[in-house]
Amino acid sequence: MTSNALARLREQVRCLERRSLPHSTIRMLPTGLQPVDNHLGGGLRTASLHDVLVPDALEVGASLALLLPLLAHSGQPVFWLGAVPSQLHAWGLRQTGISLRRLVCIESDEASILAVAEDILRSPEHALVVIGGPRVPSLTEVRRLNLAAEASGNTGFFLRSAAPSRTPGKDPCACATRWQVTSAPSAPLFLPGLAMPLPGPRRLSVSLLRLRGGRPAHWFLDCPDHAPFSRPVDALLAHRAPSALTAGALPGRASACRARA
Amino acid sequence: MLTGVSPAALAAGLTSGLPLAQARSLVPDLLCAEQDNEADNEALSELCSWLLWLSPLPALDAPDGLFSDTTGCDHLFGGEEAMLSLVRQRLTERGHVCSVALSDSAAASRALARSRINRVCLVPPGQQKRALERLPCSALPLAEETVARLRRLGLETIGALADLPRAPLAKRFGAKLLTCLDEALGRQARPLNVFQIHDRISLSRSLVEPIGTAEAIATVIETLVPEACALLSRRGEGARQIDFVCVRVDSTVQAIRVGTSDPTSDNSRILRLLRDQISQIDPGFGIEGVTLTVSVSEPLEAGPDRPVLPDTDDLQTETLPANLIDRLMNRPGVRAVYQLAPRVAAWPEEAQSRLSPGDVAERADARQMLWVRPNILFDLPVRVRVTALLPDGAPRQFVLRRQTHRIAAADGPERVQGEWWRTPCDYAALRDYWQVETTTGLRLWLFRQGDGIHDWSGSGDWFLQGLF
Repeated sequence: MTSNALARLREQVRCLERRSLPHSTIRMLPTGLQPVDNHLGGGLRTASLHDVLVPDALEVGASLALLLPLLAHSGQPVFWLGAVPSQLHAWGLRQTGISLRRLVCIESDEASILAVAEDILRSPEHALVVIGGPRVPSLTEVRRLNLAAEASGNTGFFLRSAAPSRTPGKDPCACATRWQVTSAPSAPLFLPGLAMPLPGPRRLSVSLLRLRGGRPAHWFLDCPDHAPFSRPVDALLAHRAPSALTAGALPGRASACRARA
Repeated sequence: MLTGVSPAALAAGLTSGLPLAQARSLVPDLLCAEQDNEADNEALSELCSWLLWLSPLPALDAPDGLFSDTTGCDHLFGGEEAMLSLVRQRLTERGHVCSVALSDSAAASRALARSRINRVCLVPPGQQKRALERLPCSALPLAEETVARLRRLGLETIGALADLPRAPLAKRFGAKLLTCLDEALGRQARPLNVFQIHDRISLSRSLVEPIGTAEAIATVIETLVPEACALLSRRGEGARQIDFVCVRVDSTVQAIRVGTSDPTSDNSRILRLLRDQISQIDPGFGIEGVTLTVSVSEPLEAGPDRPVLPDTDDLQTETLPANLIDRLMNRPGVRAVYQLAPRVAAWPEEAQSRLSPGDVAERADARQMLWVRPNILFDLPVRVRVTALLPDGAPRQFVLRRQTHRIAAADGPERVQGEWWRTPCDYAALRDYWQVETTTGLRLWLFRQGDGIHDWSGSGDWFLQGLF
């Protein structure tokens, strides 16, 4: 009974504050990439939908490089929804910093994906949902999901493959933002004694195709959380043998590994 | 020490209470099993609930006895004698050796049953004293030393004990002996501690008019669920699985089942779960009876105290939204709901497991993964044609789906050994993993089967297994 009364009180306070939405605050989910956050005014808005286009199956990694740090820092449960198994790898996600305890994968049949997504978006409990799959949602469907997201304050991400033949991002869009992230060649790291250079910091070509109430933009960005070497330098120089690490050296290394994804 | 013996062992001269060494010297090939008190008690409780067919008032007599108050039940089985032989027959069918006794008082029946193995004993009303006269004092539930002292005084049988004047007996042995004696002879009654069957919560309703609409079914559910929740919270339990069974007018059954991810007695949560499933019910010509059964329930644990006014900005939660997950798991159209957990295995495609939500625990050894792993991993690696410099060198370019990718940078190799102790085909199997970046910036995870020199280590083919 007490909690009911409190809920009602909280509702009244919200009405006094003249919020148009039932949930009180719009928060931002920072991407961790400084220029992008500056352009968006802090990050991606919660309580809305974001559309991430994947032009090629091999380019999923670049989109994930944008999305995963964002999901990891949000601190909310993440639902990964798709019609096929997600192909996510637990070890890799762990190195990205995502708490696996907060990640729930859901497989549903093709027809009910959007209905399930609406259920998650509409739920009063905080959640982020990533909707995978090739399907292009119609304008009506997206608007419906948008209403659900606005009502609850949850955030949805479409991670969908867009055929390269179609002009990307020209179809109508009711999402708050639309992105296309591809990888760009990084500055490789030449080291003596290596036939091939080591990959440098990961470079992304981030294009913000649409932004509601804002201007589209395009950046070439280096992922900031990149560890230059997967192993200590002495190990690289000493015939590339992985070094024997003492137990005390592990935490530093683990953070280095995490940064690589 | 022997605590129980079979009839065959009894015939060989073994009795309970004998030291094991002595028993083994008597019967060298003695088969003995260690006593498991908990399992014994559990089996006895189970037997006690089985005994409900006889009368509604069974009681436990730990460690190896059962009471049943059969007052007014004998005519159902054709008289007391027939009833006792039926009890004995059914117990024998279940594989038990038993002795059964029926008398006016529970204590007398106990003494009679315990003094003769594998017998049926029926005492007519008011005849306990005659039946008990010949029995030794040890048949009564007395302490060992009291029995020993009685024997020293020459009081071997219950009859001899009953004939003595009561006052000196009470003075010498205390009131407990007299209480035991009085209970056995029916002078004093001791209530039985009747076994409470821990049964399911099951609520039934028969409907006056057959119903067929979703609203009507929802109304029925709304009346049943609060009652079930009240029963659950009175028990301090929460439901894990709920069955809702509808009996249609053509006497076929439509059933829906919902499960929850943690025990709950929350009214609205269960209501919501059931209401989502109404569309699964085909009412046909109408439903005339419904039953709501809590088929699995668990004790409700008090969760961590939540603040009365939760801070809305504090969204850092480690807990999963249980309500939402319940609904998703029960939702038609959803094929699987799971969480990923890292596993230690040789091949990366086997290195993760799917767990049901809420079961993922942070592994202590997960930090020891020193090598970089991709975010996307193909369970079936895709075969690619690779040009590498040397058998041991880094790949230079590869062809995937008729498209040539030139490699600008590479890091590796990371050599992974198969689990040779598991299967013979993994014996000496190797993979060399390379993390490569193409000239367009794609970051991929390639591997070569084998070390490229020896045929026994692998074929030398290249595969694409993951995307960073």
